[in-house]
Amino acid sequence: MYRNRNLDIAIAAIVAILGGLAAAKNMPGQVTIPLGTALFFAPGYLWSEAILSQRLPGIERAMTTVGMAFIFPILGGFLFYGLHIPLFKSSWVGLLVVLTLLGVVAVAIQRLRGVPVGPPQQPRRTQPPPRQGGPVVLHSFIFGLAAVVGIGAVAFSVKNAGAQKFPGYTALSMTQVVDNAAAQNAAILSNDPVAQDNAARAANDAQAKATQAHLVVTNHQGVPEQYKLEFRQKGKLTNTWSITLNDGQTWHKTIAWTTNYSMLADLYRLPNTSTPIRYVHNGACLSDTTIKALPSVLKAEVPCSVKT
Amino acid sequence: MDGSLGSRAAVRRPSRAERAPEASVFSRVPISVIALSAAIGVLISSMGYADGRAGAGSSSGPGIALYWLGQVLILLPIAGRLISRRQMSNGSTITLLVILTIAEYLLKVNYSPLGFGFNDEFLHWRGTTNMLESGKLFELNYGLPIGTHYPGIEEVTAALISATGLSVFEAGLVVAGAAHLLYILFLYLAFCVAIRSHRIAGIAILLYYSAPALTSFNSMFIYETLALAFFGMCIVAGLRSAIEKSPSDRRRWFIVAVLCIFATVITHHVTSYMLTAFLILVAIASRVTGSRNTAARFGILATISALSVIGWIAFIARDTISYFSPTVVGMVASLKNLTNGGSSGATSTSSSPFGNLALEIVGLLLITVLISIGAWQAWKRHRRHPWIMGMAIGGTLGWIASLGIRLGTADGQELAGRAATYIYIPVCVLAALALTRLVNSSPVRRFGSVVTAFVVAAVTALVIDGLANGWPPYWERLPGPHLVAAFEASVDPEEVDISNWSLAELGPGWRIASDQGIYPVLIGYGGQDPLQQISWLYATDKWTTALQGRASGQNVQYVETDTRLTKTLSPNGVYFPGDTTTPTKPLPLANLTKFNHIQGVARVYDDGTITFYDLVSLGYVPKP
Repeated sequence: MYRNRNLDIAIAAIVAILGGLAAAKNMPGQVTIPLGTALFFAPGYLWSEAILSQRLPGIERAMTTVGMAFIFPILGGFLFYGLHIPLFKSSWVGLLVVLTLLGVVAVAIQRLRGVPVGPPQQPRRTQPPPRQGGPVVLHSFIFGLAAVVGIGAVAFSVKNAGAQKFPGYTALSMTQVVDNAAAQNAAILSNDPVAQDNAARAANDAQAKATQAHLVVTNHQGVPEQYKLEFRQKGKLTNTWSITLNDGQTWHKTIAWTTNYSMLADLYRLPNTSTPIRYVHNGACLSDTTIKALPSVLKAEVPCSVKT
Repeated sequence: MDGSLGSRAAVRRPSRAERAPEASVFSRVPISVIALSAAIGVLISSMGYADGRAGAGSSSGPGIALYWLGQVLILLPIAGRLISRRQMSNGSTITLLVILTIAEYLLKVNYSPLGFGFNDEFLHWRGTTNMLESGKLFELNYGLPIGTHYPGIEEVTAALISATGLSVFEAGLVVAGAAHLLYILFLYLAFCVAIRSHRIAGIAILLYYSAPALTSFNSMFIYETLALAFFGMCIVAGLRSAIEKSPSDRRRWFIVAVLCIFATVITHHVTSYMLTAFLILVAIASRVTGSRNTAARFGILATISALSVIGWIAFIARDTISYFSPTVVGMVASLKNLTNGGSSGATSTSSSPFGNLALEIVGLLLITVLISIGAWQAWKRHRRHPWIMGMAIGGTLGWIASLGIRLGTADGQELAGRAATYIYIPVCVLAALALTRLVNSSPVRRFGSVVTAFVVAAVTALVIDGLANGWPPYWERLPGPHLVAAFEASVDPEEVDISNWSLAELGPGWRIASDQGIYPVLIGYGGQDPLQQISWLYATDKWTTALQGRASGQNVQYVETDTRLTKTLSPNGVYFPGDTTTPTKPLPLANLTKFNHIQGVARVYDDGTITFYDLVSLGYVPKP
């Protein structure tokens, strides 16, 4: 770097442009990750060079580079907030590119002005130098081996955690389709407890007015499963669905929703079609007569079948 | 001092006190071999994790043994080399500290390598996701309302994600890991300037690893982790701005220090207060010791920091005061009660295994002794040195305050653990001064390598004490099967899937009563607003008018129940977030199933273990 004084700023400028392009064009990770990482740290490198203008030892140069690279998004983001510029991807990438290019200019001006810089600070030998414990190649090999073992430990943990066994389960849900986005946004934007209470009430009102619901079945049993879903309205079987799901797969169905009469969904895992494994309902009651007419295994599922 | 900082303070030749004790077996071990030992240690500890995941969790004897064996392989050679090696360069010391920091961070990553597992990380996952989706700062975060006003880590992570396309988890690991390493190294550089010996500075950092939160909370993807990096950088920049020869260089470092102050203030509340306190302390110590330039420089920095903190609270983060008020009032009340002869209400730590408790008590005693010797050394040998005197005053007072909080206040154990991050900075410097002085004293030197071995073992035990009594607690030392209401041990794929389901099917922001286990995941991945102190909802087997009124008054919209709460007690002591009463027996099943039979309460989710009820499907909470 110091043999060709301006090679570093040339590289930084190229990285800024390429990194910005890669992020803007949504290029593949193999391209975006290295270029984006370089773009992220480039402002830190250049501005620590521009501000400190000292030939710091390598480790200190690296540390101030990373530290400054972390500081710029914080101050830049706050500046954008003050200027009412939304902090989306384009803003962040633009901020980094502009800071890098400005940093290139700042460092170039600094160097053209010929600010005197001393030679890189060398450690003062106030204590005896370390003894050479062996050939450099051998130590490099051992360090490399340590890195491989360390990375291997991470890879091992990733694989091991991915293979961890958890109890399998099947989920059934029936939820009203409620558009509470406007109320939520108002609450979030205001960041105000009163607005949040109002949003909660608005969401409650929206729930009461819901006309549709989603029926969802998800298989997390670890193996493909076959299900039967029975849907009852006012105690009468109105729909039956046969569902086959691979592990991790989900089945969706949009249905009409009301709380004026009972809606009950029972899920069976085949081949057992006599006892449901899951059930959901809308909270509405059935008359005692209708409850009596239900299959015995379903009677306890109806909200008003048991007095609380 | 080897002068890597190029400071005037660093020109002193090594004194007799800076010499290492007799060489031990570790002094001849090359650093590359120590790096390999640490890497093997990480692998072996990770195998311990794997043994826990195989089914037994933290009750797996072999798993626990593997974990601690790995830790010993990491710590012992590094401690041995730092303490006993007679000749070691600044670069070697830095390399050892980098190895130690990376090894411990990899162990933190390997605990939960597929996604964030630690509760606070979910909150910042949500904060970052909100920022990426909305393009706004200060976006509401239900789980951490105060955090919305300190968006530093979210900004940095969002910028990295935007540039690279990494996920929040991947970018979070990079930011947290880099910030943690940065903090340790800047602290080391600061110690080098303050102590004037890279060897003692290295030992001080090693001792700093006995701070309980260092390898957990201070390396998680949370705002404090990043703020600490700025804290360390600011200290170094401040010191350099005071000691550089050239006025131009002093000005330049001063600019860096000011930038660090601003970044700290935007990133984390407590760290910015601690930074201000530190700057004030050094300014006062400099004035007392006659270093007027340093006093003036640090005085200006302290003023800028104080004004920034006040301005931030006044104009941006007004709720900071209400956030801290209960903690401060509680601490004051407990201490007042204690001085009046009453009970402090301090929680008992008797639930920890005896070994952990014994280690903790011995560790506290050892550090107290070392501080006393270190403070005496500071007065005897460095009384004209502003930073060492500042650390002596700050360390001694901080340690006494820490002991007071630990023993005298409710939640004192946790508060003292979190405060240790800051209090241990001067404490470990004093302890390192004392330790070096002790092992170099002529009576001790007579016993040579035996003493060295004893000191290395004691320091390693001290660091293990920090790990054992830090986070995660002993009952989730290893990852493993699900435990009820037990922080990380309650975060299974089921909780993650349900939280994702809640966001997809319900939308964000619903007020949900839930147990402690799924609570942080619902906030993070679910974007929901789970409620605290809602155990009353689960306390009876009947739906009563009183319950209905309370649920309606608190706007409870959904209720989550988990049948596993009816089978075992929580190792954490409580089932529900914000609870203070510890149940003595599992919840009766009827307390959970009562929601099945309330007219107007919809049962909307059922997976056999966890059930969600919609209390307001009618638009209001129904009466019995």
